[in-house]
Amino acid sequence: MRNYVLVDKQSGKIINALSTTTEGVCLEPENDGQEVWEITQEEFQAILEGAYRYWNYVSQEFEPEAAYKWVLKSQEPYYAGIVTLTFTQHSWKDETTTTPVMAKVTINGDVMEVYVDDGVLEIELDCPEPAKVRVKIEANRHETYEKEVIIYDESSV
Amino acid sequence: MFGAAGAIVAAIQQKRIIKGVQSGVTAGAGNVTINSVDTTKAVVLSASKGSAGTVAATGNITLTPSGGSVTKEGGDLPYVVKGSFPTYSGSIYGGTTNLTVKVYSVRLVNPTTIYCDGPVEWQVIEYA
Repeated sequence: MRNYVLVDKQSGKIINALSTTTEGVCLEPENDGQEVWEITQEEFQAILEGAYRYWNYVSQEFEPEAAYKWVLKSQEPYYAGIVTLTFTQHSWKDETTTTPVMAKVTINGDVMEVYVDDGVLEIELDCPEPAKVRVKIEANRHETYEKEVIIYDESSV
Repeated sequence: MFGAAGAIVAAIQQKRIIKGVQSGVTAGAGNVTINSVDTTKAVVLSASKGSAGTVAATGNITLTPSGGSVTKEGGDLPYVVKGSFPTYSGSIYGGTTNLTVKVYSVRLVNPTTIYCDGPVEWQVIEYA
């Protein structure tokens, strides 16, 4: 049994994978921007099941579609005033990363775009009163982050 | 005696009918290079390993509102009105559901290439 993968050299996106018992059968690149190499049966199975969608040319590993996620570092509870939410970028293996990305941040329906190149995303909320704030962060190849942040009145503590 | 020999010859000829079989499983769409076959004597068999499609539902829906409020701040003009929209929940009843399903397959492009349009298990069988 021989297994092959066809990858786009620029993006690392997996275009196709093949498992065959016939000698001489192989995947066919459409242009010079694609390359084929042999992989293991386990890797082929993971690609077939959709677990891997990309090849990371830096780490030399296969990755899922959502290879990154945002982790909120600021501890709750949050009190009325200026609230800073600090997020760090993590890989799907839960290691901190600094992969540059344009993030789309939605706060209670208001959308803004933020370029993050150091792995840290800070959102400053100006909340003079207790409130519920819906925070959503979307970015290419990132798990979408969604949370309802509750801002309390400090006098209620 | 004559009958038995004839059966053996027939069995040998039967084995020679299939010249070769090539097989594989692909995970996505694209061309696959195969060993050259005579396209007039080859057939491709394929079994889809996945499917794609859409579901469209039509019918009636009754929505139940939840939450939402309007408050006025300040007694005199100009005053501020703050509000939030309610959320709605409900389910579709009656009507119809239309399901469209696509299954994947393989075709022979030329003597050395097959095209898979998605995840499929395939065999190229060449006859003598």
